[in-house]
Parts: sequence; C-alpha cells; structure tokens
Amino acid sequence: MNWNFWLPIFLPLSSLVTALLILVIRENQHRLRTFVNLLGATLKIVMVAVVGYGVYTQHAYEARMPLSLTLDLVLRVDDISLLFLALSSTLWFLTTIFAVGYLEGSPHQSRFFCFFSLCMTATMGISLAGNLITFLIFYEMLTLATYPLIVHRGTEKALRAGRIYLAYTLVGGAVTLAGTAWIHTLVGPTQFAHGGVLAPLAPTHRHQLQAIFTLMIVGLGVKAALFPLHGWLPTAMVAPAPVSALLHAVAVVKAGVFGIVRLIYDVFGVKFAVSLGVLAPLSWLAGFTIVYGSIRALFQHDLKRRLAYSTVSQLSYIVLGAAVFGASGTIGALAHLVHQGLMKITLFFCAGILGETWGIHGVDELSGIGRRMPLTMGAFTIAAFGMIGTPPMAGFVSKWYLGLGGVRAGDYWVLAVLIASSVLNCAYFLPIIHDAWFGKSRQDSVALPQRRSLVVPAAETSLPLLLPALVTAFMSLTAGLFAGSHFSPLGAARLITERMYAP
Amino acid sequence: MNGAILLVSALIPLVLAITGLLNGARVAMDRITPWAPLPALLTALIAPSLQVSMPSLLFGAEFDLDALGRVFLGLSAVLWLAAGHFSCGYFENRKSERRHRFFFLLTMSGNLGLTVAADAVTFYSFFALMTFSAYPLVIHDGTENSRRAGRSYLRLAILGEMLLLSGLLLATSQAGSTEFSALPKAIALAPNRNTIIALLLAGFGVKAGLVPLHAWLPLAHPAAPAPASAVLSGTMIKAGVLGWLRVLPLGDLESSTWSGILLASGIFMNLYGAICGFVQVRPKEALAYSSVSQMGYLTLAAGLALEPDGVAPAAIAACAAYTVHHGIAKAALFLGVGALSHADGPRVRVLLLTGSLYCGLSLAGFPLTTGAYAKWLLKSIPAGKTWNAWASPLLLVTSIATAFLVARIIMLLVRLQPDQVKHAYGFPLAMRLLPAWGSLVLLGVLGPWLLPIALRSAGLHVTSFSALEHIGGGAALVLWTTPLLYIGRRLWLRTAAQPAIPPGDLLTFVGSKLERLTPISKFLAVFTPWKKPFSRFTQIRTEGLIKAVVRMEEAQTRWDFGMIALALTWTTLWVFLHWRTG
Repeated sequence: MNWNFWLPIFLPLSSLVTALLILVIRENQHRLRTFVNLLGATLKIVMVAVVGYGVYTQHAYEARMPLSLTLDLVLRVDDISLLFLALSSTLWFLTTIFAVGYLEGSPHQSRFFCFFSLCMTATMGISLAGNLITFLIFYEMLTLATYPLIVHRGTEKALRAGRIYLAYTLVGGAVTLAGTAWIHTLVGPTQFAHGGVLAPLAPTHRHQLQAIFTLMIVGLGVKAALFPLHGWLPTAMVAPAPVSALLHAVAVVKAGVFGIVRLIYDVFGVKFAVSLGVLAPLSWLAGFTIVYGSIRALFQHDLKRRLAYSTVSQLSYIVLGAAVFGASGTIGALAHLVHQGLMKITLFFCAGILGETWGIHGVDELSGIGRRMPLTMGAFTIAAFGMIGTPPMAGFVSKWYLGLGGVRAGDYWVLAVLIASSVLNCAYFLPIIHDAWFGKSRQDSVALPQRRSLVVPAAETSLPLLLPALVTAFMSLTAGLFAGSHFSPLGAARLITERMYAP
Repeated sequence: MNGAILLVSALIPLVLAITGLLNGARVAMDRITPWAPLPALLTALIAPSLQVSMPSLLFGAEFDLDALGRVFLGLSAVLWLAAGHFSCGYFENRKSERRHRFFFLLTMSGNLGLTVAADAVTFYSFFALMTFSAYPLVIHDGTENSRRAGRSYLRLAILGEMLLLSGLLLATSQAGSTEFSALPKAIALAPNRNTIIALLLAGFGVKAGLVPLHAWLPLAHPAAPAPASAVLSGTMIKAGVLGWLRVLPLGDLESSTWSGILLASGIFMNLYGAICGFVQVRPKEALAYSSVSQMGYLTLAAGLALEPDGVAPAAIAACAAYTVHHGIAKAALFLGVGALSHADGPRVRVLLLTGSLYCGLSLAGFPLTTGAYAKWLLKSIPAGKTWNAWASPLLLVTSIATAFLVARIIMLLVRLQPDQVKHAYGFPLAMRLLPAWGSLVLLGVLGPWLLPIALRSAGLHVTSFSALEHIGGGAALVLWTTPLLYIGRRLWLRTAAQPAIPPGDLLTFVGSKLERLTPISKFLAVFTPWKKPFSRFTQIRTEGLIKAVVRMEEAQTRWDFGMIALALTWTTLWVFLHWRTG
C-alpha cells in the first residue's frame, strides 16, 4: 500500500467513518459513543503526527482523483496545511472531551456527534485541499455540516441564528464558487503553490484579476467575519458552548481565514498581489474590522457575545498580517492562526463551564467567581491576557510580529491599530478578570450547581469540562513562552514563511 | 558556573507563588516566602560575570549579569527580603495575607528577572509581569479609595506598556534583533530616532514617575500596604530607569537635545515633587511625592548619560549609586510608616522616628550619609563646563527643597496616630516588624562605607569619598538648611485637614475638569475597568450613534441584507480598486 497516497485520504476519512458509526449507535449508548469519538480523534492525532514527521523529512503526500475530465480532487499535505491540521486535530480532540461533559444527560447526542465528526471531516478536507475546487467542495460541506450544530438546541433563537448563518455562508460560498469558476476560465485547473499561479496573466488581465480577487475575498470574508460580513457570527453564539468554541477557534471562521491565506499566497502569490494593488485595501478593511470588533465587544453584556465580537476582531489580525507585505507580517498571520485558536477556545470553554456549572451568562454576574472556580478563571485569565497581548502569552508573539511586519512595510498605521485594539482588549477583558477575582461574591442569586455528578467531589466542575480548558490555557501560555523553539507555532510559521518568500 | 542560575534565581519566587496555592503547602510557605529573594541576593553577591542565551525561550532570551544588572539585582533582592520579612504578621487576616503573598511573589519575580534580562522581549515580559501583579497589591485593602488608586495605576500602566511596545517594535525593526547590545546603536542611527526615543522615554517614564506620567505614584503608594509601598518605591519604579539605561543610545547621539530635555525634566520633577509633597497631610502621600522628587535626580543622571561626549560610564555609575541610596532610604521610610502606625510604646516610637529621621537626612544629602555620596557622584560627572559650573548650586537648591520635604515628613510621622495596636504570634506587632526595618536602616547607616565598595566590586568605576569631603560638602548644606528650616518652620509645622494639592495632582485636576464635560468623561469612563461600560454609556448623547450601530448590526442578521451587503461590498471594493490602480 502506498502510504503517501492513502494517508491524505485517511485523514478526513477517519472522521467520516466516526460520523457514520455514531449514526448507528443508539442514543443511550453513551460509553460506546464516547469511545468511538475519542478513538477517531486519537487516531487522527497519531496520523497527523506521522504526516508531520513525514513532511519534516521531505516526504510528499498527495492523493489525486479525477472528478471530471478536467477537474481533479487533490488532497495534499504541504507546510501550511500541516499547521492547520495540527491545530484542528488537537483542538478537536479536546473539544470532543469537552462536548461529552457538556452534553451529558441532554437529548440528541448521536445527532450532535455525528455532525460534529462531519464538521471535522470537512475541516480536514479544507486543510488538505491541494487546489481551489477541492477547497471549495469541503468549504461548502463545512457550511452544511455546521448548521445542525448551531440549531442543536432547537429553540426559536437557535433556528433563527441557523437561518442567518446559512444565508450568509451559502451566499458567500456561491460568490467564492463564482470566483473560482472565473479563475478556471482564465487559467484552467490550478494547484496551490507558494508564489502563486496567476502572475503570467498580469499584462493582459489586470482588471479581471482584481475583480476575481475582490470576489474571492468577499466570498471568503463571510466566514472570516470581515466587516461588514460578520453579522452571522455573534448571532451564531446561541449554539452550545463546544460548538461555539470550535466555530470560533478552528472550524468555520478559520476555514475562511485559511482560504484567504491560500488565496493570497498560493493562488495569486503575495508579490503579484502587491503589484496588483489589491492587498492594501484588504489590509485597511482588516484594520478597520479589528477596531470595530473590539469596540462592539466593549458594549456586550453577554459573555459569549463579547467573546464573539472579540473573535471578529482577532480574525482580522490574521488577515491583516497576510495582507501586509513582508515576512514578519506573514509569520504573525500564520502564528496567530494557531494562537488565536488556542486562546479563543480556552475562553469559550470557560464561558461554557460558567454557564453550565453556575448558570452564569452575563459579564456582570461574574463577581467573585474566581474564588469559587479558581482553575476555570485561571485559565480564562491566561487566555484573556493572551488576547490583550501581554508577554509571554501566545497573543503577544503574534502581535509583535504583526507590528514588526507593519513597521517594516512602512505601514505605521498597523502599529496604531494594534495598540488601539490592545487597549480596547484591556477595556473589555480586564473588568471581567477584576470582577471575577476581586469582586464581592454574590450571596443572593447564586444558583446551586446544576450538575450533580462531579467526578472528583472537591473539583469546581466536572473533569471533562475542566481538563480541556486547562490544557488549552497551558498551551496558550507555552506557545508564547517557548516561541523560539522549532516546534512552537511561531517556529512553524517561520519555517513556512521562509519557504514562501524563497526566490 | 551555569548561566541558567540567573533565570532560576528570578523564577524561584514565581514557583513559590504557584506552590503556595496548594493547600498542603501553606504552612511551609509562611516560613519560606520571606527568604524567596535569597538566591537572587547570593547570585548578585558571589556569582561571577555570567551570560546565557536560551534560544527556545520567547524570541531567544538573553540573560546577562553585568555591572548595572548586578547592582539592581542586589538592591532589589535586599529590599524584597526586607519587605518579605516585614509582611510576616503584618496582615491580620490570613486569607488576605495569602492573596497578598501570591501577588507579592509574582511581582518579586518580575522585578528580579528584569534586572538580569539582556534582550528587550525578556525585559518587557518581566516588566509586564511586575506591572500587572503589582495591581492587586495596590488595591489590597479593597476600599473605594484604593480601588480608585488601582484604577489610575492600571490606566497609566497600560498606557506605558503600549508606548513601550510601540517604541520597542520600532527599535527592533531598525536593529533586526532584540538584544540590548544591538538596540541602542540602531536607535541612534535610525531615521525616526526621535519618535523611538520619545516613545521609550515615556513608556518607561510611567514607571519612573516622569511628570506628568507620575500621577499614579501618589495615589498607589498610600493605598498599598507598607511592605508593598516599600518595594514599589524602593525598586519597582527604578525598573523604569533601568529600562532607559538599557535601551537608550547613551553617548551615541550626535545632538544633546534629548539630554537637555531629560535634564530639564529631572530638575522640574525634583522641585515639583518636593512642592507637591510638602503640602500633603498624610506621611505616605508625602513620601510618594518625595519619590517623584528623588526620581528627578535619576532622570537627570540619565539625561547626562545621553550626552554625546562619552560621559555615559560616569553617569551610569552615579545612577546606580543613587538608585541604591534612594531605594534603601525610601524603603526604610515606608516600612517605618507601617511600623509606626502599629507602635504603641514610647521607646519603640522614638527608635522608629530616629531611624526615619536618619533616612530623611540621607535623602536630603546630609554629611555621612549615602545621599551625600550619591549626590557627590552626580556632581562630579564630567559632563562639560556648564554642568560643572552649575551642578553645585543646583544640587544645593534641590537639597534644600528635599530638606523641607523631609522636615514635613518627619513632622507628619511624629503626629501619626497609631492604629489599634496589634499582636501577632504573641508579640506586639511593632516588635515583629522592627528587625526588617532595622536592618534596612543599619544598611543605610553603613552605606557611606559599603556603597563604594559594593559598586566597585560590581565593576562600576566610582571614586571613593573621604570624610573630609563629606564634611566640606555637607557644611554648605547644613549651613543653608538650618536657618531656612527655622525661618520657614510655620510652613512645615502647619496642620490642615486636606492637602492643598490633592494627591495625584494633575490627574485629579484633569479628572475633576472632565467631570463637567460630561460626554467626554463618560466616554473615558468606558475605559474604566470593572464597571459595566454599557450602563454608563447609554446615558450620554452618543446614544443615537450607538443605536444606529446596533440597528445596523440587527439588520445584518436578516438575510436579504446579507445579500445586499455582499453585492455592495464587492462593487465598492472593485470600483475602489479601479480608482486606485487606474
């Protein structure tokens, strides 16, 4: 058997098989379902590790299957996809554990975990896609697989959020499809390649290419929550906490951002995109979204809504870094792709724990909660300081490189945007942290724990909820602390960027 | 010896802080905590010159125990040692003591680490750790007053961090490296060096109490418990000066504009702090302003170090000497206030007051004190004719100002009514507090002899100072000060219920003016951490704007709007692109 061919296929397939197995598991077979889930997730991590080692030793993994006469379905592992693979498989594993704890005792778990795994299949496909059409197929699949997760609770609000989500993302997908089709009419089937494939068309098709770029950005910008296309994201936070965590950290929004990164670096090629003049407006839009999202976050009462707007803002860090020409900006963007995932998933885990354990949803209900749940709030604090960009957290590392990228490109306004965003991040995260640790405990309205089955009696909440949050918080700390190591997200980002800018 | 010892000795308090959270470790922690800075002190005293780089840590962390770092490390360790012992039993409530201890140790770790950091990012990390962990120390007693103090501390601290980040980023992009060995030279050559220098000056200036960024100092010091104030004033504000000395292009600039600016602000700070402190009615506020005033000397020395003509080594040495002198004297004074407010017996009070008086005289630069020596070093920096001619009269004037402030502080200390007398572990509290305070005072008394030896063995070139010069230089000061203090006795003896200048002078003033400009103040109130911003924000005129934004966001959740938005965005962007690229 040719592993170089089959591994890229097994990666998404393992989730697909998990999804199908879960379908046939009865609703009340909790243990079996959890076992299948975790087995699938573990298997995937092992495979990613193998593939990672392979790529490190210059192995090429590629699976090519003809879709039609001219189109191929290409699944390929390159350096960028490896970064995304590692992030999503790790976080997926943790989120599965979290979801098992979170949904304990609630109905429709089989349905939930089935689509959960389908979502993973799509994400794997997106990261492995070797050309635009493959990317698009999995991109649309992700849209459809996520919908049932968002409307999982079945309430009026959830259904509405689901409708909005579908409307936005389907239209976005259609626009992306149009852009892809346009590219195909110009150059035929293309592959992703560092340096881009469209440069030869420059002299004759300048305006068309600009139009295509805009079209693609608008299509991908829906999932990447670029202003003004971000409306669906804060609404979608009615989904259960594990779904929000995934949505905001790895799956949907990251697919959009990942698409933008691929578009700039592997379809257009960054140098060519600069010469087309399309990157500067994109960076301005991203800069505006950063500040806009932060300001909007400031005015949210609901913890998850605040976090959602914070995501809008943080995603644009990545877009900004990708759109500012120069190696430092690219490093910052790629590192933040991972860092934002780690930090934001921690925050959403914590929000989920607070909601599930004490019924806390508003930012003004957190007074004194740190004394009751020191570990949860400790994780929250680490992640929030990361979002602010305090050293040595992961967020600082990306902010530093983004700032450096801006300065080196001569765009000093990038620095101003980053500073403004950091200050705003302080303004909406520090009050929460302060209240949680130093506020007076609420005596009156504290609800009793909703969950009866604490695994460890002294623990502040059930272990499957707590552990993933602690692990991701730890990772957000170490990703920054040991940023200089080769195996840190920054190290990987540096390596990728080196190859990208190689002549 | 392995260079990792530098990192380890700085991280020991951090590890202890985390261990202390474990239930079982609490009793043992009570004994260990005060000794947490001991490894750092030993490192400063006996370790050879060390350098180590850790490429995996941060962006490649560099540590270096150079002369300046050694002095700062030693001073910090001594002060944290004293403050740690002082705080044993200082707190009545065990629970609040534990919280204090946790953040005390974190702050300590940040403070110790930054002295040995040899690259900008490592320095900045420890600096941030120190800054943010000190916040809970400021708001420790939880009163509205200390929360307000904490608020201004945090706001200015964040401002400082942001200025610093911008400055360091600009500098790093010029230097291509974050190492302190490369940064200053790159800054000197950078085309935008003035921006960089301004950002770095202001960024570290927040910590160093550079007027007008000093406003947090007189608010935060009185709010914090005595041991925290002692280290805040004794070593933490010095971290700002250390930052200046590490990153600024000392001696590499061609013009002396920046040097002049720093010199002028140093002198201004000195007098401004003295005046503001002089009108205070509570000793801790007056002491805090005295710190602003004394930081003026360090600012001035940093300014001289920026002079183009190679006086940097002498200025740096003077800076180090002054840092040690002021750190020990001011920490002893703050601890003295803490002990005095719990002292009942007359004998203890007399002892405490005498010690404080000695420290005060040392601040003013009286003969046979470290103050006289440090000021003499400042005076003898060979920074050109103008400085040599004007240094003596200038320092005489500032010393007289300081003497007035010291007289006022001692007056306030004499009048200080002790709180309810506490007992801890079977002793009257004041007795327990005495050893830590006493050792600092003793160190101050031995200072004139120890300090030159310590500085020289650290590797700084300082000249010794004979007793004759002590008396000769001090005579002028004593001769001037005594009659003036007598003539102006009404001023420093007067009693008032409220200080003529409220603590936090400028900030308080601007704040009260802003209250009247409602919309602006409400907008600023948004940035008030720990209040619900929205409830305040809705009351103001910008309500309409907010509503519009909210309505727009709501509209975005309708899917027909989504379609239109998509179409519009694409069209606008494309048209825009055409327009831009022709």
